Amino acid sequence: MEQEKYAHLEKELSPKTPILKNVIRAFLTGGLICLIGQFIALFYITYFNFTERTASNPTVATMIFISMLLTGFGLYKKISQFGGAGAAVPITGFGNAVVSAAIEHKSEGYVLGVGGNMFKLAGSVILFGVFSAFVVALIKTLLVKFGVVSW
Amino acid sequence: MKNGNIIFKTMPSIHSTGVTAGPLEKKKSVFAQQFDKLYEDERCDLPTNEDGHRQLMYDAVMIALSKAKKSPEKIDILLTGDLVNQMTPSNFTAQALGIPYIGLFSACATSVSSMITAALFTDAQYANWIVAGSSSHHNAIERQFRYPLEYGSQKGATAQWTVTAAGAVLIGQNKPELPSIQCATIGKVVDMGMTDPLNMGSAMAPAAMSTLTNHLTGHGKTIDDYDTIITGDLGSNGFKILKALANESGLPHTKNFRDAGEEFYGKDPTFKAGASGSGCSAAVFFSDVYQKLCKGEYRRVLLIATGALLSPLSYQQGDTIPCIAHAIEITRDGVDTI
Amino acid sequence: MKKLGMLFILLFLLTGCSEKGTRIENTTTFNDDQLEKTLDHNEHVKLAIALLHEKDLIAGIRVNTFSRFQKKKIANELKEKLEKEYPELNITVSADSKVLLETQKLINKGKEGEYHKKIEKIKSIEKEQT
Repeated sequence: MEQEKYAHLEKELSPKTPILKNVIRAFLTGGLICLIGQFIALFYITYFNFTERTASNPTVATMIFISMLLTGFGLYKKISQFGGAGAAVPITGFGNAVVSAAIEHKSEGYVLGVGGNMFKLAGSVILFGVFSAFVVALIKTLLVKFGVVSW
Repeated sequence: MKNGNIIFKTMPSIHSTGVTAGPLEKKKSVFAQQFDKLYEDERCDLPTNEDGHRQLMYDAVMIALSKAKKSPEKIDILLTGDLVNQMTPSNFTAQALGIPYIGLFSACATSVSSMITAALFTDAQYANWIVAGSSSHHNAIERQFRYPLEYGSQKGATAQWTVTAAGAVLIGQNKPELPSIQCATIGKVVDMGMTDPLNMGSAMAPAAMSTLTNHLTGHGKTIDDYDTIITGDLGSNGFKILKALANESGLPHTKNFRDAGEEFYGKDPTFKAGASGSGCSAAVFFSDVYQKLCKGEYRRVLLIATGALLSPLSYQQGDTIPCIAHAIEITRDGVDTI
Repeated sequence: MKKLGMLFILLFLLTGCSEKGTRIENTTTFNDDQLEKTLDHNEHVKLAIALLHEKDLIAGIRVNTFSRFQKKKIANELKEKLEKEYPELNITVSADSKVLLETQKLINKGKEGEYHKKIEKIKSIEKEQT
């Protein structure tokens, strides 16, 4: 049997990815995570001297802390299995990627294990995050320079 | 031998088996009652997952030996394999047992490939007692092939769950009342261009089909000669495809087909398409199937263990997933005509 | 029945809060009519709380949900407008909810003696960078 014919048969028989269901679940999960983040931000604004702008730092730290606990207790992978991208895209997904890799590689010691592998999943997020921020800033700088937009 | 078809003239027998499995298998596997030893701790109370993996294999071998009242010194060769890089759990097991050892790798088909090799040694009178087997450990394998354990990645319906289990068999000269190895087929590598490592069932199904057809034609058998034809770890999706391929190739029916991977966790949807790993086929073949052979429920079975021969490097570099399947025919009809 | 319940929850969630208004506390002799008019007439502002004390005018505003992305710009435009109308005053306009919240708290407490100190504090955290 040729590969193409088999690929056709395989496609026909394999269960389809329920895209709509996944999208709805991702929306709900991601939305819920952000709602919790919003409450935490509001908490920092109301009870501490943080403005909407400065509250984002402690909020992010708190969200990562929560995701760290959930990862350690084995709950975050369950949330991810349900929510997919909804659980991966917010900062909690980043925290999960870092912490899960750190837990996994603890058996190889702290320097070569935890230190060397902690960012093996999150590293690309950092690299491409910094790179895309650079590109966006470059475009904006040029646009401002040519007077298309203002800061 | 022609086209990978082997006939064992002396029909080596399987004298005993040993199967060990982890805590999740204890809770969720439908075969849990038939396993010899179940652990409460996923690392078998040892510091790392890899240590636990080694312990699983070691205990499985020791259980198989103790059932046959043999000590490791009496064993001529140990043939085992697993999925960890360079098969360190098997290597450490061999070191602890002190038996002359050859490590074998056929991915998840190692359970059968090790039995075939063991039967060849016995058939050629080079060895009296050989232990064959394979094992896998969920935590150790997931980490190597996929993401860290606690990393949240959504698994699709075709994903399979690597089992924490090990199986070992003691193979020796023929004893008519025991299940004996009559013939086997060494599979060819089949690659149908599948690339998704989370859909290995559909990559392996054509390999299983190729070996099955080869075995049937090479040995002049029909599927009705067998009480069951059981595949290793195709999972529900791969098994469905295998049955479709069987229908297409003109086999009369598929009602005596079984798949260890699909059955392992009782079709529990949390495990998606079912179980996989080299411990999966070993655990089911050497417990459920072997016990049914001993009880006489099965007179003749065909075990087809399937393996996906990929590495994390190969699929990240965009290579396809080559697959293999080895078949071995076990009967307890005594010395019937070949 | 279950669907009906879902619908109600959805409607409730979509309705959200719709408070609207302008509140001004004036402890000075300046006329605040113009201020009220300016704040009220801005189409983006749905809630504004302003406090006039000594030489300071501090206004916290909340903009409509769909104007949130331009809230900084809206606050700046309001500030410029007010600066023209009240050239003698130090004017602070912010769309940051912290400013709104603190100004409201300050007015509700009603202790005039604390006004100056608190206004300076609000101004300082408003300027703080991340």
